[in-house]
Amino acid sequence: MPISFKLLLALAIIVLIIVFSPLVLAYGQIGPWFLGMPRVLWAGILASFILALITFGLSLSLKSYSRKESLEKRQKS
Amino acid sequence: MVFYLVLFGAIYMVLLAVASSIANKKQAYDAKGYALGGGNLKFWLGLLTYCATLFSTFTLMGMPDFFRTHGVGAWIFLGLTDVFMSIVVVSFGIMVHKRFSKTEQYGVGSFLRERFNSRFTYFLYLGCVFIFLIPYAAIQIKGLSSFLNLVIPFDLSTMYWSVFMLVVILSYSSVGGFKAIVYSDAIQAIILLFVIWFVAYNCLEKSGGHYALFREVESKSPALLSVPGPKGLFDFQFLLSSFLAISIMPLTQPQLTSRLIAMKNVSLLRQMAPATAFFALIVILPSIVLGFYGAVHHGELSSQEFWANILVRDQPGWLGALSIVGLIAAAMSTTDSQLFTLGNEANIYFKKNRYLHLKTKLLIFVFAVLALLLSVYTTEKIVPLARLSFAGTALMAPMILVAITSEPQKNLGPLLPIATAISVVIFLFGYVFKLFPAIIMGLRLDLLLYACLGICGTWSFFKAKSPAELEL
Repeated sequence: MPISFKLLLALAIIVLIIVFSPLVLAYGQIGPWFLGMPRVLWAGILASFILALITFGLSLSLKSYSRKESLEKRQKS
Repeated sequence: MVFYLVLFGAIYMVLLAVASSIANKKQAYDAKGYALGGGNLKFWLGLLTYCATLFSTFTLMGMPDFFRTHGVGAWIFLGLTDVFMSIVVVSFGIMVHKRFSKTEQYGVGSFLRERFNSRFTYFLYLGCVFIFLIPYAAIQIKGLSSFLNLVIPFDLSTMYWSVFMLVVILSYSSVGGFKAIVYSDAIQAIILLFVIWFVAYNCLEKSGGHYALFREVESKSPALLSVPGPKGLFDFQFLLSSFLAISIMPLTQPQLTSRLIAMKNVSLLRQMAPATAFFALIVILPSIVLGFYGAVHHGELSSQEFWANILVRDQPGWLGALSIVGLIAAAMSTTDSQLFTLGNEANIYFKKNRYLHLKTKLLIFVFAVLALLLSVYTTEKIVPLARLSFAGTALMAPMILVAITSEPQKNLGPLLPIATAISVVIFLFGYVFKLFPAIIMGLRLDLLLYACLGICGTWSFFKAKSPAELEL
């Protein structure tokens, strides 16, 4: 797997650790508010958008990797 | 509303008939072709069928009710998890596709049988999906039938609606096979998206915007705006165990796995993965509005009454009718996928001759009848099984992951299948029959089982030996 793929996966894990930490899952705490939404909701939605972008990045990373692989195969043959 | 209901219902039935007719003409007649519709799904069809199968009536009914009853933690429970699922698709789903594209196999059960060199593994897999998916299908049919009985102004029993849905499912799936199911899924996904956004827009307009909505919730029931919620459901362990169980569903639920395998090529699957993430966002976001609108205006009602109000009575006639048709389509698209995949997983010991399709259709019919009987004679034991279906099938995740990621020639040994079987028994005894405590040493039983299976899986992966190594 390319380095960019591994880095993006690591970033996804970091996002998950933050979401499941008391930074986001603070029991009984509604605030701080952002865009009219309580903490768990805006942080959760923001994390979801970041994960969606990471998935896009992973897909692009695999695309360039498979292109590079097929180019190398052609050069060898 | 009756006029719109008949109109939209008729249009939907015509679309299903056209879809199954087109699918019938394109039907492949080899075993793998029948099970996967030729295995040449393009981007949009692949995306829509995958999402329609994933997002059942739970999206339109269950999720708003979760927000209404348990609060903002529902986003972490399902919204974030469904987005992360796309990372599982791009990481492991592509591996699955590559493995299956090199063989004539089309079922996960037969793949596991080959990798673990054991019929027991196949029967374990089939048993698990049967135990956990049939009750889920039954509960979906029952829940929706009860809802339709409540909102539709015709005097028809719940049994009628259950039989009606299953007859329609069996009709188009037996005529057009997998392709008919895929086309009907595409129709359902579009209806679902349309309905949920329109209903959410109406609710938001009536509330005066989301700022006003959340402030009203804060004044009425502030516990909904934080975790673990008013009933304490969304604590850390529950959210973590649900995250693990749901995010791995593309590999553990055969109706989703079959759609990954059926994509035309790896490139399209790679493009589909981020698209599913964005689709999950745009489908689940509106359910937040529905849920909190319900918390403000229908907080004391039962779930059935809440759904009846928010999806039908609080909406203009045409939208209420479209919601009903959308819900029927959602239930059917999930149920048909489960029944069809179960039929294909179970037909492995049938001879691959020209009667294979007929035998598979008979199997699907048998499973459909079982689901109907369960939906009619539902007991207390079935409901927890249905609710825990994704958690139960997740127990197979380490076994499937090791089979996919290990080298094909390596012998995987019996440890993992045996550990998985024991875990399933403990899970059933713990959550369904209540013979084991749900919390052990402060840890949820399912988290403990996942941890143990994870250790067994890691051990099996690194200890697997090739035939040459075994001879030495």
